[in-house]
Amino acid sequence: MVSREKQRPLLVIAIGNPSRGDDALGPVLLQRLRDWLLNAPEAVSVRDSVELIEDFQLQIEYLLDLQQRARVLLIDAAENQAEACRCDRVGPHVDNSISSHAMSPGALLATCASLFPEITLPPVDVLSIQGICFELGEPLSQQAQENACLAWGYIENWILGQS
Amino acid sequence: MFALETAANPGNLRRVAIDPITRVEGHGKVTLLLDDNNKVHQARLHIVEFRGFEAFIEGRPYWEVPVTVQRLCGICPVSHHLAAVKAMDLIAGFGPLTPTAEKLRRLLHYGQILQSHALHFFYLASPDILLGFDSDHTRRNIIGVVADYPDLARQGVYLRKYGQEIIRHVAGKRVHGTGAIPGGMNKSLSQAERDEMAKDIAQMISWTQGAVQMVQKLHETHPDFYNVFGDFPSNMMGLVDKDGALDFYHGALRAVDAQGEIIFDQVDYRAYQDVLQEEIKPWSYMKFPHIKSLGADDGWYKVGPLARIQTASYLSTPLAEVERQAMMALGHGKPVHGTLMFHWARLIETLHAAEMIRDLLDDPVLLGTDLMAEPGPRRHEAVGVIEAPRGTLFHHYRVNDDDLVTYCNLIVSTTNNNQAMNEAVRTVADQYFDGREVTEGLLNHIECAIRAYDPCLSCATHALGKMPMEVELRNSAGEYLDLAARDASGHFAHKAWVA
Repeated sequence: MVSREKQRPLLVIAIGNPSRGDDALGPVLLQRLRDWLLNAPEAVSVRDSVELIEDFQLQIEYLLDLQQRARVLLIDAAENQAEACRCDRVGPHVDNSISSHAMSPGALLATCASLFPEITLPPVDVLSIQGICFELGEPLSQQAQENACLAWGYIENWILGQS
Repeated sequence: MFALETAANPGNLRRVAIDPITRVEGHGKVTLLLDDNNKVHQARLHIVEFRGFEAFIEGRPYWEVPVTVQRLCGICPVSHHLAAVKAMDLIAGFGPLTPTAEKLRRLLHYGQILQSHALHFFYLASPDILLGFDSDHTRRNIIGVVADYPDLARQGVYLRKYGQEIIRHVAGKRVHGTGAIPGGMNKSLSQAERDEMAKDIAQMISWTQGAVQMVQKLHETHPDFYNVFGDFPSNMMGLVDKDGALDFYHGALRAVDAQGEIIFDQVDYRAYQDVLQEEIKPWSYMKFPHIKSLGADDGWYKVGPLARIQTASYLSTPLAEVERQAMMALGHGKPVHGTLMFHWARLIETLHAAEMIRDLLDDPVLLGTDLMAEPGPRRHEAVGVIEAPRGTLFHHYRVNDDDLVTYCNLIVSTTNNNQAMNEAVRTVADQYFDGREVTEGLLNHIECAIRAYDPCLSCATHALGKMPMEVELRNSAGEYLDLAARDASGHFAHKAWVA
């Protein structure tokens, strides 16, 4: 049902609105990853193993994208986060966002486990990057740009299986 | 002046506030004033609308706008994309779209309608409708629906995914697609893409029809609740084609009164300011549009599914039209206005969209490669209107000789429904609030009234019954009587007053 070609083993989902200040962190890093996969010599071995998705928020249909994945990485800006960036493994967790347009990664996994028990949940990592300003029309803040540089190291290692 | 909008002597009344409301995009709150007999004297829905949209668009080259506007809202970007590009078709001076281009845009739009409606019903509304408004709030979510109605929950996800796949195939990507451009489309549909979509459409139609009939059965089984909840008369507005059929993508404006009598018909939406006017009130950041000829007090209206399918003379697809007739039969020749009818109407529209998708997929013109209209002289002002999932959406632009947008006015669907949502809150408060004890179920009743409109102001969350909310009850002397609060974890409790 709603079939697609065989899934690539690695899935990276960037969450954020490119026009809302530091909310663009996810999309900006995804674009950098896209360029790296296409052009970097060290990416040759993984170029065809990665699927990239970008959206404003995590919505329920993405649980179907979890099928047949070896690993999943979510990239998102975080408000009120002390660290410049951090990467956490998440598991199924029912929270406030469970019935909303913008699900948390834990809520998505919980819904997937409940609704589609036949899907083997892959390991899901969430890379949260500190954001400062989220106003419509604002560019990335200076701090966010610096944080993105730090985050890139995480992403490259994750893709290459070195995280 | 609206009944229950402003109390004559607010100083002698008790104030109840619901702040914030759950599942309203952006920030909203409800305030109620009651007398000592627990009668509601004032009920207001205050919504903070994000007003940066127009400023965000002004100054941009007009050809960027159909892509840029998608960033206004993560919930219905395709609606803004298509409304904007319809205006830019005219700004850029293009003539009528080629048949293939129009069919591709319609396919894109119907995919958006289907996935948006599916998400709202199966995921946001179904916990209330299927599990009960007063049911255990810890289960009143998708997990509860999965436990009791697993097949239905799965169907909802597949319907949602199917709609998103249509968007991906037509626009090139699920989000921020650039499919529609001024004058036409920038991507044709391949046979393989068409075949992939065609493979599942019969199943989507079947599931949607099943959902419509399930909701119909709820209304037939419990008419004293489902038909009466939040029932208030109103004018209604929507787009219709030249024969009066509902047209989600393009048509003329038609408005009818609460009895179904025509107020205006076949109005070119480019002249919307001749028939509609926006009013500002001091207690809300959202404007109050109304029909000019009827004035502010009598000219407000509702848009969206319940309004659309009753404003139109008929739906052009057979299965959906049968279901529309079944719903309207409850009115015995007059429109029906119960707030929960929105859900029934929304599913009928989902079925209608699915049938139209099937018909488009069967049309060989859809696979054509002639995608651009004939160019013509540039224009400096244009309006694009579309029936977004939530209701009529207006985009109005002016562009200077440097091709930059100098003026932008958006009337989003939820703004059109502002007064109607206020009336829904008032009606439900009047019907269900006992004034003596604030319960979690009461909070949810008021939220359900608003939720039926599927309001959307920005790409914020719709957290079902779980956002923090407080309702306080004070007597006419201002003394605290009761405080009920729901915290961020969804736990509800009465709290003792602490001086």
